[in-house]
Amino acid sequence: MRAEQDQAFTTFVSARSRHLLQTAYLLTGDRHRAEDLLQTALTRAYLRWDRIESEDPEGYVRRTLANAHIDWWRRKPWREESTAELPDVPTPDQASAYDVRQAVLQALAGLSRRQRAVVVLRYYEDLSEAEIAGVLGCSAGTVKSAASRAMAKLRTHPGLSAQREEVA
Amino acid sequence: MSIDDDLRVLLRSPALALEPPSGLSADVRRRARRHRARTRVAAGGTTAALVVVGVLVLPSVRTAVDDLREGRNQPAGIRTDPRFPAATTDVVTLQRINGAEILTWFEGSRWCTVTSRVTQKESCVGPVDSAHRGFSWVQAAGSPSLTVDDQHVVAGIVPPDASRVIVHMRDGREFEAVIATGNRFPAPVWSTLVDDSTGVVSHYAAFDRLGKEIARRNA
Repeated sequence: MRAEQDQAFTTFVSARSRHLLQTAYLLTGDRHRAEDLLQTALTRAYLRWDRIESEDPEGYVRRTLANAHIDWWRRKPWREESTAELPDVPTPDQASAYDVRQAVLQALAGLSRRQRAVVVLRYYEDLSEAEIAGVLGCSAGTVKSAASRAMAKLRTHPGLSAQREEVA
Repeated sequence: MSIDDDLRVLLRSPALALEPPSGLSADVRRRARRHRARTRVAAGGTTAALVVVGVLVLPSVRTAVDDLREGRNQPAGIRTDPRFPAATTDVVTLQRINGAEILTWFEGSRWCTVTSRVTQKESCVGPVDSAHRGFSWVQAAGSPSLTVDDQHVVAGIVPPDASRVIVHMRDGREFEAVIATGNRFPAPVWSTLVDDSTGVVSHYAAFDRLGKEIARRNA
């Protein structure tokens, strides 16, 4: 990689890694997995930087995040074992932030991988159904159906409902 | 506000923001360098490896394929299934959903499940210890190897001495699991289709023949 490309990659990471890490966190629900997932996606982007730099590097990383998350789930069966508790631990001065985090992550944890990816891409990344279909490599109908099922679950999630009332 | 708007606000909450690790760019470069080095080594070794395969390995592969065809390596009494050559037990149907089957079997001490519709979602976990008290391995609702058309099955290894397993939802609903076993299974397997479109699984409970609860595990 040429020096100017290397510099462009560093600038991209500095500017966008915080946002992309939050995407990864919403997809995985775990800080360490999120960091690992982001590093995987950025590594793939770095190796193809000369091809993707002029197009849409963030779109490439976003697509890699969503699909690598689903692929990890398929390849690593130990991830399918149920977990009773989310790993984060509250501290008194962060009680409200903790409540929001717990409510959102627990609500997302009740969704299937695809439903979760659809929700994150739709409501965090603000993509249209057609764009999400492009990212996940499926039809717009599949996205619509996954979104509808996901929203039905999220609407009735008690923790999320409480947080929605706070927001309102 | 609508749930759409609320979700946008909640997902973008600062409570969910994380600080990227320092030195992320440098870590990515190191990982990329390792990847390139491995790729170069792999490419360089491919020709030599092909020769070795041709000369040494191919005859044994041919023998193994012949063995597989004739079932010579399968323990006696096992109904072989060519789709799962490593199975050391019967391959048993757990559930049928929309024309697809959810299958289970063991590969030694590893417990495997898959849907007949999408075979790459096969999943094996283990080791399964038949003497383990209580619930050991559970494949949760939403596991790709147990999902057909967004309909979710929960399955697990039956705890010793249990004759019933019930899946409890947080909203109070219950789903009774069916218990299946097969030739050489180290432990029976329970499974049930759960309607989690309106709620989430709370816990699993196992009961003995007298109806006494003997094991419980949170989902």
